[in-house]
Amino acid sequence: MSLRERVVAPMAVVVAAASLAACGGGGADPAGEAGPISASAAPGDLDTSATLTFADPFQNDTIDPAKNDSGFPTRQLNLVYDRLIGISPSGELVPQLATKWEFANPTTLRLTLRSGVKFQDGAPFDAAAVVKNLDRSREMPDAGPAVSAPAASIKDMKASGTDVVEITLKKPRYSILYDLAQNLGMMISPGSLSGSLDRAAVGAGMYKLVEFKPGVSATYKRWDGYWDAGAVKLAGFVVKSIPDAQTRINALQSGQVTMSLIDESQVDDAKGAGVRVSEKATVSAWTMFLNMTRGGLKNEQVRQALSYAIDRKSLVETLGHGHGEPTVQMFPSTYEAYSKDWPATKYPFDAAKAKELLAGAGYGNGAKFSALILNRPLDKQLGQALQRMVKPAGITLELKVVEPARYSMFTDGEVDMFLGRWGGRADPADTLNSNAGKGGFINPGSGTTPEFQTLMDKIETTPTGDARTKLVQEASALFAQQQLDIPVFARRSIFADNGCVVGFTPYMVGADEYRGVGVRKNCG
Amino acid sequence: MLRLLARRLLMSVPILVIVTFVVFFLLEIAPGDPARLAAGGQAASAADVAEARHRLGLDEPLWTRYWHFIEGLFTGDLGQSIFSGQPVLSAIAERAPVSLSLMAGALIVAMLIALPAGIIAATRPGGIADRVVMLISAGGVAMPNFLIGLLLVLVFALNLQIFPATGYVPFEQSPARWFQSLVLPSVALGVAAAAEIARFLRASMLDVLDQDYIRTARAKGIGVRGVVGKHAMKNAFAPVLTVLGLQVRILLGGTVVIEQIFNLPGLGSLTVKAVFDRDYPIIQGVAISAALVVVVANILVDVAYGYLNPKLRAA
Repeated sequence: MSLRERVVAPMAVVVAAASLAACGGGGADPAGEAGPISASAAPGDLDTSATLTFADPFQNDTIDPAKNDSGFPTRQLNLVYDRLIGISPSGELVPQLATKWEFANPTTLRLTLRSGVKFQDGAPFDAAAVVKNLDRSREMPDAGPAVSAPAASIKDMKASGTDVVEITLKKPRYSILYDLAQNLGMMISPGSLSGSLDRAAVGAGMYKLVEFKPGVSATYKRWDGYWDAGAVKLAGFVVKSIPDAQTRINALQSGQVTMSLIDESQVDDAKGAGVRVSEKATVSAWTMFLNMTRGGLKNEQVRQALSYAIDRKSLVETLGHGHGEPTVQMFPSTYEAYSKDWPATKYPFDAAKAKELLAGAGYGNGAKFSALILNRPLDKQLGQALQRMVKPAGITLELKVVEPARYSMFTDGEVDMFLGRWGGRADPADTLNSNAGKGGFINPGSGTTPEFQTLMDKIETTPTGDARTKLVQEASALFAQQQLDIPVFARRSIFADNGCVVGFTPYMVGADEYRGVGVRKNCG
Repeated sequence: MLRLLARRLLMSVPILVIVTFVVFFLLEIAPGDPARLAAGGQAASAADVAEARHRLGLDEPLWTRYWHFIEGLFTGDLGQSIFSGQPVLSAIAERAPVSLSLMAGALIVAMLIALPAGIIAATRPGGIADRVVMLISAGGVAMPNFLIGLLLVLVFALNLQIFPATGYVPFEQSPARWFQSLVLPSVALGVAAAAEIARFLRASMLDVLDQDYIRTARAKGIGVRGVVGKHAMKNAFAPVLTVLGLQVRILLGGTVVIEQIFNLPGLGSLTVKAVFDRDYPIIQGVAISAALVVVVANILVDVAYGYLNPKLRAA
């Protein structure tokens, strides 16, 4: 444990408690009095000249949608770039720049585009622009995997008139819709496509980029030509990168930021001091990622034994400070892909049952596994807690703590498991496949089970809709039953604000949007 | 004096060459693959990683890359950040004013505290003032700067709301707000240096005040101010200069933590992120720049030493 972790973290907690208590009567409204952060306000109650300053723990290096694809930082790309398809706060696909989509056949997707939309440089948004954008994503040598992989599945694009685009896929792949609802679908003005977009951005979104400083801040101002003018309630938006959690709270309390992401450990102190806190379940989960091609982990009973050997409730209380939900699926119970047939209670904390299963699998003398952990405070806490928990069941975890850049030790098959955080994907099938499907990027050696893979193959060729959702739920149930990975608990995204923000709903899939988000008049 | 300066400049050349060598090769043996990170991290395929390795020139032989690196130093081309694509020199130029302002502020704070404290303690050895100065300076040396920073935020930013808790305002944007944004970080960073310098100044001053020429000056009826200011200070300050030179290195390291606490976009925060990302060009550029700052500071100290002690100019 580093000096900073040993000394700074406890100190930060002490100082946080003291400072928040001391500032209880400060500018923020007491919790609850300001109403929920998601509440809307009458137009006359909003300060349309206000700038919302958001403290983000993530430090974006580039604002190019094709490169900036690590999930969470796309939050600020949504300000400047509208996407072909949108995602609702609960994860459903909704119209954005495309008003309608349909598969003419399993490999041909037809998008009907919103008419009358312009890019921020005045260029018209039309089918030709969509084709140029997708072409860039396909041809770009340094595009990130979240863009390059789905772009590579596109065989051809064709503009049909100005308002219709036909995308031909190399093989049936209905998850392309979710890709178009993320970075791949972010539309850039054709006039900007040939230049560098690392620090410049011209989209068709609500706000125009004024200045982007990598890893420091991004400043946006309202774009008056936005197609959905009613969604723009602010004069400007500033995103400040503040990696340190305590510094974010300090900035919020001293009025330097309006809203911030905060850590689970800060919630009670923040609420006690009158800072308004809003939280929402996310598709992110602390997980024991397994290499199912190694030793005992090939055996379903051994994996189930591991699941019985962990006390999920206690981990929610300690690691999540009570903010989270025990789960044996990769999703929270409020998500559409969650199978109600496999609640967390199916694997209660039961060391005796774990021992029994291990003995049945031929590990009566106990089992030993190597587990990789990233050298980050919460990751190490998780590893140490799990190590202690599984011991009474006769399971030994040998922890290997490495710097984040050495994560590939897991995907390269050097260890049995990786204990860490799953960031979530917009497409629930993508989550399941990435973790336990053939070729899944976090599934070393493509370890899977035939019945699970059959389900995943079926999902891939099933159009989005109720039938697909049902199949995903089935796959999630099978995942839970066979414990292809061992989810521990689903995380929540937690926001704090000065009590003045209205119209904001945290997104379940991470990439929050700021449509209709405003700041109340004479507040803060 | 010019010969002294020329000699010191010449001596700094091999130091900088060694620094480039160490920086480059230490990063080579550091664990982690920047090509994988540049290709998108966990989700990158083997082909993506290979493409990124080629694009970044990481598949070239080690010595070839080292040679390019040295060439770049002379042409001002330190490469580009693997992740942001920003030229390293431009990234450093954007961030350096923050760190240099912070360091300068910390040195000013240190000198404003240390000079009077050290002199008062030395002129009244064993007295109450001396003991108080020694006690406080012991606390200043012992207290980590992040703790001082957090306490300053608590009192002056959150409670009294005199200074901002976080952030940096460029001088050209508003000199007053630039000053305001630097006060707390500079104090947090400068307190330990002040304590260290005050203790050295006190010890050095005590030595000097015990010299015959000081007794003579006193015997001639020169007052305390004259004795200390005119006769003792020049000689007592020479050893302090050495400490001051060392403090530059310590302050440079301290900016890493202070910039995190106050969210200042300086070289420290740039370095932390670059280290976690394995952004080699940025790490190399910052390390060379830091070495340059320390070497220049040492040259200035040597020249000042020569000014205060003429015997050293010929050495």
